[in-house]
Amino acid sequence: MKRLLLPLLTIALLLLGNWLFNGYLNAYYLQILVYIGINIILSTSLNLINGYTGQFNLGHAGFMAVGAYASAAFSVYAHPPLQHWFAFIPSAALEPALFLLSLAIGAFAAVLAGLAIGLPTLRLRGDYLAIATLGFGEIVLVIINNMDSVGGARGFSDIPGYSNFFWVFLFAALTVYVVGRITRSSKGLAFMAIRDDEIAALSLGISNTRVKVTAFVIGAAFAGLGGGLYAHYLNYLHVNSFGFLKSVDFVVMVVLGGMGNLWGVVAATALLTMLPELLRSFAEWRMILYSLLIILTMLLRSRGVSVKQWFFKARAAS
Amino acid sequence: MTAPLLEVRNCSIAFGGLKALSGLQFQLAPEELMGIIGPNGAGKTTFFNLLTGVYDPSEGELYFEKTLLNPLKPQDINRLGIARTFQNIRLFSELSVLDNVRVAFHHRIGYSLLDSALDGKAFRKEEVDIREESLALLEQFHLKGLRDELAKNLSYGDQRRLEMVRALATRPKLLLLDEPAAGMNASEKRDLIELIRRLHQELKLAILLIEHDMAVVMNLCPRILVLDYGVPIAEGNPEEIRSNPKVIEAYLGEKVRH
Repeated sequence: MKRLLLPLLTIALLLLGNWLFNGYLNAYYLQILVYIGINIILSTSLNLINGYTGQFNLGHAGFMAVGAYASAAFSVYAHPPLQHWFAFIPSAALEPALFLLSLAIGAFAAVLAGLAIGLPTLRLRGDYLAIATLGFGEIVLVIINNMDSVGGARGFSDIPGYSNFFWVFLFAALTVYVVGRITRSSKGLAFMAIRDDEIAALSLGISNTRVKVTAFVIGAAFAGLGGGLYAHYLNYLHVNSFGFLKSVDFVVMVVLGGMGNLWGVVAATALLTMLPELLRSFAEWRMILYSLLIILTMLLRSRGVSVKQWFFKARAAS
Repeated sequence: MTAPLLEVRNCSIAFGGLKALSGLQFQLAPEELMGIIGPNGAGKTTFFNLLTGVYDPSEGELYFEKTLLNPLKPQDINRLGIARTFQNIRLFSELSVLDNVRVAFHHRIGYSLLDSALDGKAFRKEEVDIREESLALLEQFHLKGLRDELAKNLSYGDQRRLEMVRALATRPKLLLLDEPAAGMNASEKRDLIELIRRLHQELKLAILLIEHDMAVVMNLCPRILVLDYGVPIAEGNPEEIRSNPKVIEAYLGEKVRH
């Protein structure tokens, strides 16, 4: 029973938040909040690959795109017949079930993509791996752009809007929880061992390829999940949302938050998602200010923001 | 005579035109402690790299408990029971001292990553066991007090000892030590000799020791192999090695004329 307490409490709080925010929060703020949640899923899963395992994945938006399109396609094409067959189940129960199924399919598709890119390219290191994953991201977009069944260059519209604050933050919490748990376990320490010294890791019986592929697969699964949530929130997908710059955004969040720093990356994600919105009043200076702030933060805190440190400093000062 | 733990049969390796090792041949019994010495570039570390699968020999075979090592990868060789330390320390510098040891349990861990997320009973029990065993090992090496320190912040001597703990955590039958005394001062060296001797007796494992420091090797190893330019030139007990003219010429310098 004790073990169920925390998850149940989280769900209850998220449901309450969902009800409150949908009723009383300005739609614009709610949207930013939801984007923060989706970005946390993406940046935290990238943190596992880039931060903890030390691999340079520059195509994370590609995994997100695979998940987004796969889950959206399932919702658009498979949900109507399924809804017809299972019409005897009340829609309040059927809808979430089908949505979860769509999300699972998105995550699964992203895992397949992760394996497809991971197995042949993980012998590459550093810059070379970055370029290979960058190429992967671009290939995904070119393929999607030419698939008429998912709208091609016109974009994929009429995706059912199942996503909301509750689902997004439930999965964001799950992502942070899972990445936090596995990287603290003895087995998961292998991710960091490979980052720090591959030769030493091999000498201890750690199979580097296997651990790297595992990191890519888990990272891709959550990226696909994030993509699915994004698709069902926006109701519309276009390849332009998953370009190279999107991957760079996630990399910046991980670097700014601190490679392998769980909560630092979450904080940096929230900050970097809000920042462009906060700077809206500066209109044409906005992107310059955004870049300047990132450069300044990197100069001042090159090892990332440490939430713990801030917290303790604030406590010591008060 | 008991079956050898390790058998090296006529091993050679060449890098381009350079023969780093040629015709190396010896056997190591279970629980034996043997030293390998030789001047810089004699091929000592190259031999460790052959043995642990970093390189493949150009000629010859390596057998560990009757298993041919040649086709195996480093991670598989470790799983057979060979662990090593490195001449240039290779710790996981951003991990804590304790985590450096915990990570070495990798291939013995029964649970999967999914179990670690689900936080079940079996997972918790195994984690507690790993932690306890790691701390017990650290205590033997006087590193328990430093368990939460990052490995990179340790002193040189502590780092060398932590590398030994990490290698031991894989429960090897053969431990390869690559210049464990390098960079240590006289009293640290004395402690190290005691430590290796105790380890050898208590854990009942075979040890191959590469060392530059003659005092350490002569003190510790009942049997010594001498390499020079990749060729084994002598083998025997410390007394024999000390008086072998070839060794004196190659390593200890030419005989002093009185």
